[in-house]
Amino acid sequence: MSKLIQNKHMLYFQRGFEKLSVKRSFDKAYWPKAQEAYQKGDFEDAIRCFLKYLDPNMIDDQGAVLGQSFSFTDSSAQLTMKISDEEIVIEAPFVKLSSGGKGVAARRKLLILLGNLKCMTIDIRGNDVCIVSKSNIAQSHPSRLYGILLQMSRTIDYNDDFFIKDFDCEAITKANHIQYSEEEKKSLWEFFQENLAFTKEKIEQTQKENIQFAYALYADIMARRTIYYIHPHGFLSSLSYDLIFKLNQGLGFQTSTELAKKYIDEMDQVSEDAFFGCVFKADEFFYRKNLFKMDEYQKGFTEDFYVTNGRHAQDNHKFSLASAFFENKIYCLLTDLDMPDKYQLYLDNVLKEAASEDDQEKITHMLHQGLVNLDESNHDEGGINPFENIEMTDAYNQAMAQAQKIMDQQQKFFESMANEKKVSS
Amino acid sequence: MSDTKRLDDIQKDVHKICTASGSGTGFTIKGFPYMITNHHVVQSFDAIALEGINKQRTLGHVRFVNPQKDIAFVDLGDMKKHNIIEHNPDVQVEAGQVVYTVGYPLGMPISVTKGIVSTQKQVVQGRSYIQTDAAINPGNSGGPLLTQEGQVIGVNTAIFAHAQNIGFAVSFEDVKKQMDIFLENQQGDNKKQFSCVHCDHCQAVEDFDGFCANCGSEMDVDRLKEKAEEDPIKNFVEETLVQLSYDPVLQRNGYHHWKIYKGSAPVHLYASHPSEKMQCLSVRAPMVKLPKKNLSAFYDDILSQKHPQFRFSINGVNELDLRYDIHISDLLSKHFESQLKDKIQELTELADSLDNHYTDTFECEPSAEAIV
Repeated sequence: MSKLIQNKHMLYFQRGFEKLSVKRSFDKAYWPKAQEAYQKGDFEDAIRCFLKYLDPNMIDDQGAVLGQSFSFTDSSAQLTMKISDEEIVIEAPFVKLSSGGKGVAARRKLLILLGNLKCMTIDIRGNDVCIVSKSNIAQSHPSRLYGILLQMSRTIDYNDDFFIKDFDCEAITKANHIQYSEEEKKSLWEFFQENLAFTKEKIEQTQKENIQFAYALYADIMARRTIYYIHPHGFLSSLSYDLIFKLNQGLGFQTSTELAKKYIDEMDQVSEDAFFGCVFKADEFFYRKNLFKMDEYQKGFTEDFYVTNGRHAQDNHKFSLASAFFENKIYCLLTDLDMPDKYQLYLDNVLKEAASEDDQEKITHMLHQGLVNLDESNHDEGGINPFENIEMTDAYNQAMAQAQKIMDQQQKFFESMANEKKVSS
Repeated sequence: MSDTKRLDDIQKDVHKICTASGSGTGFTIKGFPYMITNHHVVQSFDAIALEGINKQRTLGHVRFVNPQKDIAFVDLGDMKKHNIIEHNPDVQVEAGQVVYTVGYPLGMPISVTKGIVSTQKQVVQGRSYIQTDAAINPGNSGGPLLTQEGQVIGVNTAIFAHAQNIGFAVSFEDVKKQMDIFLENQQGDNKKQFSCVHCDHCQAVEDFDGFCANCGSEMDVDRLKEKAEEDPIKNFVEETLVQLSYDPVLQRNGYHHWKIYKGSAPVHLYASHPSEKMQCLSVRAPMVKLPKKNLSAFYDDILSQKHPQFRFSINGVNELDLRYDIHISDLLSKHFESQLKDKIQELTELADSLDNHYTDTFECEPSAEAIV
């Protein structure tokens, strides 16, 4: 897979969007204070400021830190941070191992998992598996502490269901879930069924027209709609993410079709009970992405547009940029509630205009120009620049920076046709 | 190649070159006392690591570069020269002629590929190359392009990205001209020299002020002179390696990657990819392959927290790793520096003893990278 395509995927394949979380806000003023205290070697104050950054009510301004213990609940992860004169111990129970034959497989999986965990290890106490990080008190930089807390909670939240399902492990902690209202539940279940029906119908149509990759395309769209609209947890989340990941590995027609059929079959068999076992809001401490505007997102996620352009990006470099623009739009909508309406409008108009075109070259040009205009804030509407004096948010800047990288890659590709590339790595 | 034995011999004269930027290939020929490679392999480095087919490393010093022609000559240090590869100026290069490349693609062990000369003179950006369809990959740069008789006809230099089977080699005629310029202008003080891109005037890099002393052409000094960089990760690791009695230049294995051996145990030190959330310097020692039996006891043993300061894990090739991570904030702050260096030393010693323990207790085989 080329770097270009990898970058394109990075643009939109941001794990975590599937989950609804209770919105929290950090007290950002304490972050630089924590850094400053750390630089001065006042580690106790650095930790205190870091805790206040996470939650101002967690500790008083002059509250004792040494000898204290602090707890964080993050979905199904329950973390404890114990601070003594000498060290900081952050730990969290993971799962209880089974004593049967699958215990061996579970231990092996734990050891594989350990390859990805940084600054922490696994401690087995009886049959209870705990993730533990022990640091010297001098290792109290806020980014280090935050990194450990986040990584530990994510690891537990992503893996505990898998260990319970596949290795007969038992849960140690009870996840903090907030259920949807009955009305919301009804709407989500209806959407799930409509999504499935829509996918089957589209596939049937395209099968008649003998379009290759139709199964893969529509299964991919279904998985994305499931993730972005329903935000499932558990197996529904894993199934959808796995499908998208696998389909983007450049599989052949036969393999991708079989994979897609299997996915659609599995989704077809999901009962209402199983569905609601995966659909709830998690109470997450460390994850603070805002929800996106679903109606805006729907506008951007035009199936026909995706079919026309999305898949081409992997086969034909000319359409990568078009796809990048499109995915950039989705990225913005997903990450940034506060994106100014004028931007939204501009993006929508460009997309709408492009989606009404049949000619791929024209679409590419249109989107390319749209992206360039956005990048240069040069999108006059009747002589008025609607973006003047608009303060861009971090998320939007980030998305644009990623889009720019893709444009750069694209440019490099064209250049490489004329210039040689050095061979040395 | 007509003779397999001859091909085996030729590989003895083809070496891997490792720098702090990456890796490439270099080779020696009969009648020229220096190693030949590409300038873009050695870049602006003065000292580089040379690795022979037996994995032993030695320090090489760059003695001559021509960035425009993409040629560099390196003294061999303690590396033995076998004088197997030859250059015969009478050998004709023709389209369709069978050729071989020898090198270290992607930093992997030495390998040979076969192809033909696609065009004997392909001009790209005003420079003339031999074009070949023999597989050339990153890491092959600086390696020889050979005839069936083992005569060198070019130095593998470039490929077209996104194209298939389009590789380029600097013609050995061009290399020979630079060899002659260098030999004629050797000063005997071992200073690194370069030749001007326009007039071939040879001068010492150290004394260069940005303009050719002969024709006045402007050249980018940064492409020639190695700069002392403010790179805290590199500085920390290389200081640590010096404390552990290693020559840091010899341990370089690419950008922010070093590899050392403690006894039989290989130990990698490398920085996280910038996209990772936890930015760390990771220390990883692949110790043994997993045993074939008694796995339950083996897993219990390694999960028993006998060495809680480190962590064990199974890597992608089913080997047991010993690991330690240093968060970037620890590395930058200096509050904890000496302890971190001690930890690295402790890990290397532990890896060296534990690989024997697991071999004896669980009949594990050595890891693929271990020195047996």
